[in-house]
Amino acid sequence: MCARLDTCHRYETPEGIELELILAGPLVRGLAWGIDFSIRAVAYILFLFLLSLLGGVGLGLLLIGMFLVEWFYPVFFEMRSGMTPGKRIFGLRVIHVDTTPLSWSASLVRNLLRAADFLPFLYTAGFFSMLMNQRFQRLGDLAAGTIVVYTAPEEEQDVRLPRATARPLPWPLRLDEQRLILQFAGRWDQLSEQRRSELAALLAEFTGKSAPPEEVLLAHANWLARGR
Amino acid sequence: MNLDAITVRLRPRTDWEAMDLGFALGRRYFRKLWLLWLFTGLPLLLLALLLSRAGAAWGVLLLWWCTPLCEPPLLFWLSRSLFGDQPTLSGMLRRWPRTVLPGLAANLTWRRLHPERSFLMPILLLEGLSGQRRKERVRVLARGQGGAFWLTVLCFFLQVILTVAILIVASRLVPEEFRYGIGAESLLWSEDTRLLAAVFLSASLLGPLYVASGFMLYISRRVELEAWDVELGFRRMASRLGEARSRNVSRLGGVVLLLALAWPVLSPARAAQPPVPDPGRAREIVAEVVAAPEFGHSETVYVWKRIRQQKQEEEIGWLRRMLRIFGRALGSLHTLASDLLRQWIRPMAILCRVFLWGAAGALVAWLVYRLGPGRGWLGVRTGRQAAGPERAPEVLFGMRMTPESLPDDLLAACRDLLDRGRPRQALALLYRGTLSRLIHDRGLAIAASATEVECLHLVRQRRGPDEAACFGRLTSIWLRTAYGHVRPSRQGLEELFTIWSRTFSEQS
Repeated sequence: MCARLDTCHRYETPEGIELELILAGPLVRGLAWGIDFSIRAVAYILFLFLLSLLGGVGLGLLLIGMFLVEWFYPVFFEMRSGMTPGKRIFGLRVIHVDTTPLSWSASLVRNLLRAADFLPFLYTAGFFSMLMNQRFQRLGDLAAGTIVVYTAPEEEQDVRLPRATARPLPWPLRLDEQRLILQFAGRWDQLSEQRRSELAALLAEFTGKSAPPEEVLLAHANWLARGR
Repeated sequence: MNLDAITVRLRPRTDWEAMDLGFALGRRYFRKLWLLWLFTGLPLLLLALLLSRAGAAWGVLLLWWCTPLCEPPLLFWLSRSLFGDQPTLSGMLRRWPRTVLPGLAANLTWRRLHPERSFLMPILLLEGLSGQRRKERVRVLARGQGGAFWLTVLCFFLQVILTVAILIVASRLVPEEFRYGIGAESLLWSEDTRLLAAVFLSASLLGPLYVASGFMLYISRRVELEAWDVELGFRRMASRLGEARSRNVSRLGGVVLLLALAWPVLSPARAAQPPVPDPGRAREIVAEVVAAPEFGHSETVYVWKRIRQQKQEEEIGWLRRMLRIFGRALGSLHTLASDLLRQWIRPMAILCRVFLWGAAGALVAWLVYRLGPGRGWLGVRTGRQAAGPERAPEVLFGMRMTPESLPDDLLAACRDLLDRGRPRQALALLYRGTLSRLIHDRGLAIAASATEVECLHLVRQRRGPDEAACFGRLTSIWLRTAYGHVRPSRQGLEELFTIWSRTFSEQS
């Protein structure tokens, strides 16, 4: 069996650091686009009322404005922060495939190619392109070498542990194992009591028999989180 | 359930990430899932085709309503393949009644419109609970979970969009000749059939993705509630620690066999400990590692370097001293110069700036003069400015227009001609004089190619009504005389003269 399936994008920097980002799929991106579109639509309607006071000139201005906004709305926001308002709501961000921030040329290319993605109706081409691509890239993304990822980081530092007297590890553990113990303690409240002891029993050899294993793990987690 | 064999990576996910994972899963196994879907879907399509004779809407409704029939086998297959076991298609077909029939009535009636259908399906199909326990289970799992609603809504929209897109593409692919003709093709592919086919195709494409996404929502909820990822990690950790202990035990071997036998008894907790070297030995190891060439080393390198010739230096010591004095003098000169410069540079800079701004202003002024509206740039000509003297035509209809060629008192000259019995010449002189006056005194821009009527139009546009009326009268008489060879009456000319003298002479 090949590696376990996930929606991650891995990139190894020249320094040998492996970065891992979580790719955003068609559904959430479609919804973000829908929000952006409604923002634009509301703005157009408002301006239609305002500019209709000016008669023909107003209509001309509106058309010019619509042209500019339709083509450059995403470019403007992507160059400011990498996310349009719709993407911001869902914590999405556009970056290069090599995980660097978006450049002008890439942003222009990926947004000008929306015309291709839109064909034949409401981004059908883009949808199929996303489905067939490992990184959920639409045609514009493929041309510009960009991906859309979630910005929200895994909140590992922010885990709130139930209090317990700290207890040092009996011997050093690897980093991922220490993290695992922290995660276990961090999800203490979500797990049922039964499940907690079931899980901790897997490490019975490590925790010893002096106390219920889950209590020991919690104590270790407190020691790991707060220090000695 | 063997978590070690699971084929997706376990980690806590948001609902959106879970749905993305569902799409990735649907993509990975798309061919198989699609075939499974078609196995139930194709008979449904036949039924729908039959039903669509009563109306296309009925067929579409049947297809849409009965999608829950197609989905359970997909879900079952996915749930097996999630743990590395992929049932064969024939096995799945044999199993078809057992996966589809349970809860079918509810699936096709009140549960059909449930917005979280995709999320409920795994609970109902895979957990095999019933009654109160199932209700309880659904309540626990569905708490704080809003992704399934959005999944259903978005997939519905996607299906509509895909259907329209397929119809558009299909209509583009039909050759122009057949598009409006009534051949065998258009009978087979009537409007209704095409619509039904598009709905069927889009449903079959989205079905696997929808089921996989709902299933992943369910899995991620269970990962969250039951900490599957932690379990997997703990298992791996336990096995690593166990291995480390056994290695430890075997390494001690022969001599301390007794101790090794006693070890687990004496300190069971310590037994699993990986070998930890004592501090002294550790320091040695660290020193060894640091001594390796990768952590830096010294090297002896020989290079050529110029040797200072001290002897020569002493000999030319006086020169040096002279140079130093000279240098000091230069230095003071330099400070003096820089002081001067500092005093001078500011005014110079201001002067330069003024000069540059002046030059820029002059350039702008020249450009305005050169390209300004009065210069006929882009063909724009307005009012009095437009008619520069060099622009005015010298000759119109073979008549000289320069003021020099005219008598000073135009009207007197005309009257004189009239008195001498030459009314035609008098009229010509008057007409010529009037035009000349319009061009040179009133600044009217008349093109050299203009005709008499064009002149009249121009006068009407640009000059007041009095002048226009007078000039109009003059022009009409002149045209009749010049081209119609009608001799102007003496009385008419007299009248014209008086009007003319009122409008033109007084004002100019």
